[in-house]
Amino acid sequence: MLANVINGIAFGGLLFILASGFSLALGVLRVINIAHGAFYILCVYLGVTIAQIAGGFLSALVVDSLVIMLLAALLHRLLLRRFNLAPLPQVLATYGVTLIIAQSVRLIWGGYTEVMDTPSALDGTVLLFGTIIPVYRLFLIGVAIVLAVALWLLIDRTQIGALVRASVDDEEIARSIGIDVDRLATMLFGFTGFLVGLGGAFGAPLLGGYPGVEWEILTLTLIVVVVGGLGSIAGAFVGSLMVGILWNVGIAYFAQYAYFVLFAPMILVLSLRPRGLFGKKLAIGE
Amino acid sequence: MQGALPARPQSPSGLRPDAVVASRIVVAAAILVLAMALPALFPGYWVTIATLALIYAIEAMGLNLLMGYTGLDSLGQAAFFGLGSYGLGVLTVRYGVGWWAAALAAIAIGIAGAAVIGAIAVRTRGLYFLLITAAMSQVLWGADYRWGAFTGGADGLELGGGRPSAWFYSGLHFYYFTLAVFMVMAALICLVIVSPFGLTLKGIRDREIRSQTLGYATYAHKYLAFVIAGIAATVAGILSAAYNGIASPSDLTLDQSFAAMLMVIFGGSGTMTGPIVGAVLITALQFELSTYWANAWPIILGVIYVFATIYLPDGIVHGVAGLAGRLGMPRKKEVVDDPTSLAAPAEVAAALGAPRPVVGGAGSGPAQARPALALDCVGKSFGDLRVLTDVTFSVEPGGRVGIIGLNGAGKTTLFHVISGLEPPSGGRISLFGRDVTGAPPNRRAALGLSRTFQITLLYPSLSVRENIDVALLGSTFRRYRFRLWAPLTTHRDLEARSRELLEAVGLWPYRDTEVRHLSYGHQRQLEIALALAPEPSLLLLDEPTAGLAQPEIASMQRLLASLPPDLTVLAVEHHLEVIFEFVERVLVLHQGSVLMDGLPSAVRQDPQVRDLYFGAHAAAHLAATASAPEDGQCATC
Repeated sequence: MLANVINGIAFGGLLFILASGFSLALGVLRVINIAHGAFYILCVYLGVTIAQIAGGFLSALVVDSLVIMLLAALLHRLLLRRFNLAPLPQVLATYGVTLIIAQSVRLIWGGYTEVMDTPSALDGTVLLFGTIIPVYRLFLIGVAIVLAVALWLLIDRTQIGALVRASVDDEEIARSIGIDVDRLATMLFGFTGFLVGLGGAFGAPLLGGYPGVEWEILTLTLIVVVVGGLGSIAGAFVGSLMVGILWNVGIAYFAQYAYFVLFAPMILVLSLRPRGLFGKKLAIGE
Repeated sequence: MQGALPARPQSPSGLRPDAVVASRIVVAAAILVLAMALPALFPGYWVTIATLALIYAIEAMGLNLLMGYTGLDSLGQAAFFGLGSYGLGVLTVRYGVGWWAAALAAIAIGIAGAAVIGAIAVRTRGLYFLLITAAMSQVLWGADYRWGAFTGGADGLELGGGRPSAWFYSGLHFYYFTLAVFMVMAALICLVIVSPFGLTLKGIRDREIRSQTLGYATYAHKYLAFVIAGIAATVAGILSAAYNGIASPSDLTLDQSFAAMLMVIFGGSGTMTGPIVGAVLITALQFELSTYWANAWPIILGVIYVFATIYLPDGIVHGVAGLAGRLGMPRKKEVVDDPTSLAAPAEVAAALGAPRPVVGGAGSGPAQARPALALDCVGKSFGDLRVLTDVTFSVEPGGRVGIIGLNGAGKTTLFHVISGLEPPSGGRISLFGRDVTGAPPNRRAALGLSRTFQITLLYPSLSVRENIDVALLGSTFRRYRFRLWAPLTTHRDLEARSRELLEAVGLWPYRDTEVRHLSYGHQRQLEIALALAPEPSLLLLDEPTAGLAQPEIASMQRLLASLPPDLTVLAVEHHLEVIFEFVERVLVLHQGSVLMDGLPSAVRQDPQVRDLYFGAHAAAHLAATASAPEDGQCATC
């Protein structure tokens, strides 16, 4: 049980790395990126190839995050910017992009199950509370914590964070004081892509790629965000841990009913707090 | 599509009603004849496509009721489609239930699913609604995908046939069966759309807040629409499983939800024919292309999604309607826009009559003694910003009270707090002796409260008459609001009342004009007419003359003067000459506190108030005194 919980926390850490990008785009830019799962599988297959060619996890990490960053920036610049924050066109267009990416990945890499080799430096196990835990999982927990703190500092404590918050709160005013809102939004969406790229590379040795994984990642991310609260980093963190633990315990003990283990708490949280655990209160007209 | 309403080409609601009915009947008849004759014209392979297209059209029509008519964009239709297909599959295969019983039970399962998911989802809208519906249906997909022992997992569940009886195994027979189900569903959904309930949905789509202040528990309406859309998707799912002989996990994927959404958008959301056209086109395209280019098809479909979103946001049907309009088809009735043709005030009072008795007001004697409105130490803060501080006053029934104050004094916030749009941070509010501090806007409306908005809050895509009908369905004709089975136009009493009101405010000539095409002066009048239609006992007027020209102000003054004498009125107004003439008592609001409360003549002469409006020097002094209110009776709140 303890091993499952610790593994669940590690999986939650991975989910947070992935969900942080999605949540940031949602909370700060008001963009729903359905292509999130497609970005993930692109990362896995691209990462595996890069790791084989260039030999090493680090090169895969760099290539993945940069490629997805560019892809996201391009997606924002060419498509999302047109829609003026209307949610419906966003989901339709990013769903179209999902189909294009997922099918391209399938055509290029064949759509087989792939798991990246665990980086050698992190390959091993430690004995913790009497259970054997792979080092890589502990490493993921560490990465998630560092990332959570870094993101919080970035958004709440830096000037760039202030610029971003200002331009989201009142776009007109932000424009009038000389903030290039469009460019800022494209850069920020690129940054959320960078985070998803990191998540994809980190996830490749743990979860890997298999048919349907793009939807499973999107589903888990949606649950994290819906339960945690729209666009809240703290919410994404708590939601990720909750989903990660429930998912791992669920898979371990009732493999066939893992989703029911997720569904019941989700319904409970949403009936008590429609906007999720850390979501903002409903404003007039929402 | 909600939010910024797209400037659609003239929509059918702008046409003359008889032309609309006639053109609708022609279109419906043409589709029907075509559908009946199709097997004879294009045998074999096209019948397969047509069967599938009809199945998807049923799902898309349901979704359209939600997206196009209620303004709720759902990504959860797959959940109900899948509940239908798996409901049929599991019941017939695992439990050996007969086909018809299983189909009925599957519909019940779909309704139960929609009831659970809807109860949570319809509390939100927009972005969050999309997320929740997507998450819920994805979880069902995951549950099915992983629960291999029961549902067949990734391989799906073979039904071993799946049709009701041997007769249905002929492709032609099943096509006609599907066509019959489709026609029944289309007729039912059409009926819902033209019913009083359908109109209340359109109101919620356009301006949910207005509907709340007009007395609607909008949640219940959205919930019912969600369940109806769920039923349509369930029926489609059942037909799909029966036709394909398998309940497959792809029934439950986001792909399924998106396909339905694309059909609605591609065809034209908010129109009856749109989803049908979309379903036929997308299904035909899918069938043709995915057979020839199996590998490239998902990429092509992806490109279709992207391009449809960019270039066809209003759908094909609207595009065709716009074209037909240019070619001389029935047009929107031309109205001469004449802002001076304003109300004949005497008729307003006659049309309104006496205010509605307070709902549930027990006993006549004590009810009269209670104040119409009482605020006790009401405060409101947004974060650290205190907008209202210790506001205490009460208004007797039949009183006329004006509220004046500079911009930012808190007047509109005060109205929001009284009408229930903003919860107060402290204090108590009561209406006719009932505590309504925590009550939602619709409960206050039921007690006889009505209000106008400073920036007109009308239903822009509905006609003038429909605007009034929505107001009546929320109040006087409340009993009709959940009628799904009879067209709105058959409710003669409601139609007569709505005509009476429109004639009284002089808007009858514009009854079929869409409100967004109405002149500003007329919109202001309609704003007041909407607030008066429920025959309120207490009326809040938020700057009734804002933005009006001088002759329009004079006309508005006459309208105000003609209000029934026992109607209690609270009016915020910047035109002091208008307010001093109309009211018998004036409250001066300054920096969120009541600075003065007295007769118009006293307020007019008060040096403080004069300084407030005319002298910056004294105003600064006032600010200092007002921000430190003398602690008195409100020390505890």
